[in-house]
Amino acid sequence: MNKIIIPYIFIIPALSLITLTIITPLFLMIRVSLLKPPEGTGFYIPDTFSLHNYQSVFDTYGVSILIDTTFFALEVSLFSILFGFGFAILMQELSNFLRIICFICLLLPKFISPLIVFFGLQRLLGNYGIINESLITTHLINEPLDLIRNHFSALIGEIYLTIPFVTLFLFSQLNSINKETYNAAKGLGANNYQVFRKITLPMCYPGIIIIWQLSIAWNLGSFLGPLFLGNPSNTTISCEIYHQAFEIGNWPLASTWGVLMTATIMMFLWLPKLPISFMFKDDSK
Amino acid sequence: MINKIKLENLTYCYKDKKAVDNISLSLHSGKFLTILGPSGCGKTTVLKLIGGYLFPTKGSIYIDDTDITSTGPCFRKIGMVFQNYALFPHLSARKNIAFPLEIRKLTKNECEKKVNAISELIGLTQKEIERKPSELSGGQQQRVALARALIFEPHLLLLDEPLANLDKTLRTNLRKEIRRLQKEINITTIMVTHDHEEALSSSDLIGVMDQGKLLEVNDPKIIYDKPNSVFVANFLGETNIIQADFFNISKNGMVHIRPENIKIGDQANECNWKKKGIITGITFMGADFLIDLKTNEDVHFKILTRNPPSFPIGSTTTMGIDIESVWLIPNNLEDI
Repeated sequence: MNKIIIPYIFIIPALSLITLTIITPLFLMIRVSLLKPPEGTGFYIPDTFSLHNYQSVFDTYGVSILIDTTFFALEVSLFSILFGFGFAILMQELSNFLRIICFICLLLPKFISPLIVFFGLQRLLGNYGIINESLITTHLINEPLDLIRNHFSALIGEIYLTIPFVTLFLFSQLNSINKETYNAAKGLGANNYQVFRKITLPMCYPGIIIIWQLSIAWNLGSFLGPLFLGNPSNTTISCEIYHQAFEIGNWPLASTWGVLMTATIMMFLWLPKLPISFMFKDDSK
Repeated sequence: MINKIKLENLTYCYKDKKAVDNISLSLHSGKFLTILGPSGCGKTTVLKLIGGYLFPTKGSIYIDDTDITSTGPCFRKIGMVFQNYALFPHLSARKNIAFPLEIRKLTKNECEKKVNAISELIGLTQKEIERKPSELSGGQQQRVALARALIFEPHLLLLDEPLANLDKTLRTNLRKEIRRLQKEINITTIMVTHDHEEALSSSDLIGVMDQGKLLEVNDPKIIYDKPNSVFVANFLGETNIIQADFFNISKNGMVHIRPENIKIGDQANECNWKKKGIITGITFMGADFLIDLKTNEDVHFKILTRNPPSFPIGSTTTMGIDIESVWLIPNNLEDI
């Protein structure tokens, strides 16, 4: 009897914490999303029930925000995994000293506030930023390039935030592969590309799937990149939540966006393999 | 099929240390060479140099007079079984075995036929080859690794301590299987091991290595009975290394006598050299008894006898040696 009960006792603290910090706020958010929006003062009209917020999201520009945010998250995840995987493979080939330098380069931006990182990127990409100034000074261009306040700069910003996690995760995944496996494949006649395609990639597949899920989940909530570096017309769900909750004061609509973002994240966690599973077909049996 | 593999002054330096030191040897087609040596002596490095996984600091490797020293492993057509088998964990045993064929773009039918044929030869059932490596026993994994290394008909087969991770019974069986296969396919094979029994029972030739140097390459019987150095004599099993002047064979140097070549008690009477001594220890070895005997000159001998000794520890008895079985070691002075 004790053997059955004891494991449940051990998970009570974790369950309580999750209930208190995630499940309860989620239910509160769902409830607020079903309230009527404020008329004049206040943030919502209490003790009401209405699907008006959901209707207004799908009737207006809401669908385009939803699609833009999803594509933005997919883009950031895809590029982060591509660059991160390449960087992880490169790090594996380096000497210990150079590998430590790479680790420092990867982790250093994580030790400072993302706000400082984004101000740095603004300084780098801006009209009077280092890149434009250098290009103008060297007479390669006459007018500054539009490197900021667009989709590209928002993408750069979010990739910059995501890539350290992706790289470190995939580096540990690569390190768990026995090096003799590569030698065995080469000895059996495989060239470097075939070793990568038939050994490295499929063996990293579980790791890639996990980091793909996490990366999408993080980037569906992209906020700082689009806010500081993006074009105001290409907003994301998080920016819209901020706008509705703190600038307009419409909490029910902000909550509706919160519910939609959570639902989108859940959908991507539930369908993890779809976007990249075609790359690995027929290799397991 | 190749006629010969030749290593010429092969040297490999790791940082400042010579892991392989000026090794030269030549192996003819269909022969089974075992490189024997203690851990860290450089024997696996030699195998990796031959396989192309490492490139020598100095020296050359030839297959039939073609210099392959700087050729990459994927172009050498050399099969290798790694110590931990290095099977691809995400592929089934069938896919593992078919891997070299798929790389060479053989049709699905050809792959299937060849995989089935080699699996039958190696002793793997259809059910076993559908499993993933993690679902196979150590012995089955070893067979899969062997089948994968043989399926593309390599010029040469390299075996890096292939039996090290198996229990004794399985090791003995697979040792015989490997030898049978090697003879049946007639493939030139180089195996690396630190187990002298494995080397003596499987090989056409044994090479003994120490500290990166190849000390001797010879026929198993010759290298066992007439080693050219004290190290080789010691490494190939229990032996007695005694000053040569004790037997009046030579004024300098050392001789070696295997414990099974020394008789004790009544049996010693048949020998042409006899000496009295005190029994200082008796060890039961399973099939045999190992007896420690000390002569009046304080020289210690190890004697191996099949019959249970009838004399207790501390008693005096006679030991006898046929003086023809005493071997004067040629290179002993530098080895001592």
